[in-house]
Amino acid sequence: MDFLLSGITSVTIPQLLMYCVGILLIYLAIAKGYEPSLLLPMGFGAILVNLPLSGVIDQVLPGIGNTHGIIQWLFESGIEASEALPLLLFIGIGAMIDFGPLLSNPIMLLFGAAAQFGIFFTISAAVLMGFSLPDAASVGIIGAADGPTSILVSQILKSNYIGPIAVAAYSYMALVPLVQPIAIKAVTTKKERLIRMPYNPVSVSKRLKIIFPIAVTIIAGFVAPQSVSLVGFLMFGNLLRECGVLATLSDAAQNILANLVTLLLGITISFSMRAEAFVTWHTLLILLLGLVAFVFDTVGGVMFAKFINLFRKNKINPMIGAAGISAFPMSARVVQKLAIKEDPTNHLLMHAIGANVSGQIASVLAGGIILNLLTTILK
Amino acid sequence: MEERFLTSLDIMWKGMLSIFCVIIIITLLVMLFQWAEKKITTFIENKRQKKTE
Repeated sequence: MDFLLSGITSVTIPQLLMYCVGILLIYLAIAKGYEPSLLLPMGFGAILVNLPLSGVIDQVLPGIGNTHGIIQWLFESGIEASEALPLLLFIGIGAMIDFGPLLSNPIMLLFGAAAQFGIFFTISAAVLMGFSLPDAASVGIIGAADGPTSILVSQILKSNYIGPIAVAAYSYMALVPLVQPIAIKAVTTKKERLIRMPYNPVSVSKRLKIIFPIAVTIIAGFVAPQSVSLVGFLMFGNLLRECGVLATLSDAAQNILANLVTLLLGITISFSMRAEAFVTWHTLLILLLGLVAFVFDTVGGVMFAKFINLFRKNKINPMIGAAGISAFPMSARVVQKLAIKEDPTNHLLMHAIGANVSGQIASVLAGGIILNLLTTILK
Repeated sequence: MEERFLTSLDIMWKGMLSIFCVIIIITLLVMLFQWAEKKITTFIENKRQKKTE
């Protein structure tokens, strides 16, 4: 009867822990609605790859030799070899973004830049906790609040912690409505949260909407060439949307491509959630550092808005700075909810959406710039 | 450790500066484009108005 029991007798305690992690991710996805499109495939994948002698990863079978597993193959070809999956997802994301609110109020672009502070703060914190520079940078990029960017950067930097980083990135994105209000309230006064901002949108021409993605790609390419794959694919998706002559391709990018890649990305990334790589005390540190990154992103954005207010006659509500992170549209909604809570007639949503969209550009830029700086430093 | 920490601080200021540089250039370009577009539209409209007069 040994052949029936060989599977269950070879289960290890770390693998049992990973089943619990997998079930927890599935629970959070289904019951709480936290990023279900990613957390559910990742949770199921975590169970799949941790079954003893799992057929979804490569195995050496007695009498047969090497066998290939589908999840390992997907990971090696779709992420490790080419970073294709996260990059392809950017085409879909770009096609979904409407830069209109940002272009009608371009000053909001600055908040996207300021709210990337948490990334760099976390890199230093991770170094102090003993992580190597490439690993610290990979952990810091959780603060980009952008799952595909986190996966891509940690993969290019050959981080050993790609699994925990992906889990932290997606979990905290889902937890933005819980994390951000606490951070915002900690660094703002009630008087600041009551600041009103009239919304006077400037009409945005179609010409500008077409030129914008091309110009951003060229400028980003000149300053941070490593960011071109990230920014370029994001802006390519946006150009498909805005050009007006490729409606079917834009629709395919927004729906079919984005859904298909998201589905594959979640289950593929679970390859890095094998017990031997995931069940370490580093995972707990990474989850903690991810929280630090999100908090300091928020603080960075808010403090920058306060700094700008020193020079402006028409004050900006500092909460707008917090919307500069890439978690779209959760972050803008958080700011709007907080504003309404303080004063039911104070509507900041359109300003916050502008800053939030800017965060999407700045987060991919940050990813590229980190790759650029690290490759220069580690030369 | 100390050297790595100093390098991370180096990455911090260079990274933030690079992001702000790119974003400020983009912001200025967008503002410039909107300003130019407005001027050109006004100029064309004025010209058209003069013609009809």
